[in-house]
Amino acid sequence: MSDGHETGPQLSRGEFGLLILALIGRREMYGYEIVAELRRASEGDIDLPEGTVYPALRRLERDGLIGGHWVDVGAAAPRRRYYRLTSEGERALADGRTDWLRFKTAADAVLGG
Amino acid sequence: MNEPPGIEARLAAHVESILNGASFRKGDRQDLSEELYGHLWQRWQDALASGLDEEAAADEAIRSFGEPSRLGRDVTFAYHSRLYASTIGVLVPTVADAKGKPRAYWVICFLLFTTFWAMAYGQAEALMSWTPLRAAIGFSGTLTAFIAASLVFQAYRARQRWTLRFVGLELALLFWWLGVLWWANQPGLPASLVGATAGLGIACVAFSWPPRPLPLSSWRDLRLRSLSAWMYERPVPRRLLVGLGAMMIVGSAMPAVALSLHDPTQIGPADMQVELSVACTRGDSGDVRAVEVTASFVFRRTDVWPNGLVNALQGSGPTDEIALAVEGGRPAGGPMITPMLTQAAAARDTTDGSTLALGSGGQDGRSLLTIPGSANLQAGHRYEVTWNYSVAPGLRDRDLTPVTFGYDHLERFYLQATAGCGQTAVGHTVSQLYVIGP
Repeated sequence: MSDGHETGPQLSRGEFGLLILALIGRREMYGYEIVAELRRASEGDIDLPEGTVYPALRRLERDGLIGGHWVDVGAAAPRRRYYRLTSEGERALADGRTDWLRFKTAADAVLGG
Repeated sequence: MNEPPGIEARLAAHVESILNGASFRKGDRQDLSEELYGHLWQRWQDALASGLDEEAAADEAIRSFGEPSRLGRDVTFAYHSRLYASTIGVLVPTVADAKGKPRAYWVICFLLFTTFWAMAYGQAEALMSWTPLRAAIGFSGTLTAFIAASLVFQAYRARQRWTLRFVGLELALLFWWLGVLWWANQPGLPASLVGATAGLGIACVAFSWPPRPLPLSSWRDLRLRSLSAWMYERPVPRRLLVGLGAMMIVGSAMPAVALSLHDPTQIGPADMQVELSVACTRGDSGDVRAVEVTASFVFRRTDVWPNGLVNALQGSGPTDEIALAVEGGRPAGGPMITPMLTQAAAARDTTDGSTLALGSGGQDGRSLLTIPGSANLQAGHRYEVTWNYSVAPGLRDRDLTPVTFGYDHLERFYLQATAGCGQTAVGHTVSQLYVIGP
């Protein structure tokens, strides 16, 4: 669990945005869920301060890559804002994934992976 | 929600501390606040479920959420990253100082502060020497621009992002003005230098008034902290922006316009009546022996503070000048004709007999009298200057014409008349004058 400080790999904003797009691309998610899923999928290697996901979500939403909507979950809990990919977000995810694989292949070749 | 009010208030306060350190669209505050609070609340619930008590669970939720100042900066970046390339901020990438302000903030504050005071000083100087109407127009314009610039400056210090556009305009005007000054005062200056100042001005405007933001993808790896990221977005009525812009531009231009206007409080050539007479004494053979030239002039009205308020009080500033030149001409291949002045000329007030000015008795046929600013020329008084000169032997067979008389009023206009002995035995009056200058 994060203690509010970044641990594990250092992500650029672009890389962090790409990971979020990938998670939301699987299904609609809300912020808390994205953080938990990111931690689970990376087996704890990516453990960012949890609040950093919200600026990233805002940026992606302002860029038109994702869209958000509020969902009531009962009177006992606050509403949740769920996000889904837009068509532009799907294209950005596909492009980003291609770029990343190209980079990974090149890096593996250099590093001998 | 079943959390006790104390914990709810604590989580809400933490969210507020994050948002208070961020710059974003005001309309998004409610959504952001609710979303961040919802995360903290769920994290707190999970921590409770893991066995922590309420306070410890709240501590855990807040700690894992991240440092408020960093989150505030990230929120700011999320809202303004698209605008990084669209403001002058991108020209001055910088890091924040201890007070969280970009260092470029202080540079721009200094530039604006210097500009304001240079403007005020320049106008104060102008008020001291400009004629009343021009001073009034110039002062009104400068005051208007100064008020507008001060309002924008205050808004800039209050972190309102729209003011960057005016900062850009202000700096552009500064560069252009410098370019004009260099071009006007140093003709030999390389064109590239003048062009560079013009280009800097254009760049300031271009970066301040982008047609639209550049796409984020071009800048997603830009990790510069720019000035624009530090500013708050704030909706400003279009009329206010147009009004402030008009005040700055029109106000700044008014002093220059004032200088080109005719000031009706100042006299012109039509307000001055001049007569010139030439009396020639001839010998038996008809050749000229001695000449008396008399110029008289009357002002129908006089200037109001012709050299500005301070100069009016001190009696200083530009003066009037009276000149006479005897143009003998030069015969082809012959000697220069040089009449000899017999006495120094004096300008007198024929109304009260006082002397205005004494002139030099030039040996070369030229005489100049300077009327000091303290002379206090009066409307309706007749002033007269008389020159007497004899003609050198050997030249008496020449017809010494013409003589040229000139009157320069405060370097504002110049009256000129030409007369001569001709073949007459007595002088004649010349009332038709050439007017040179405005």
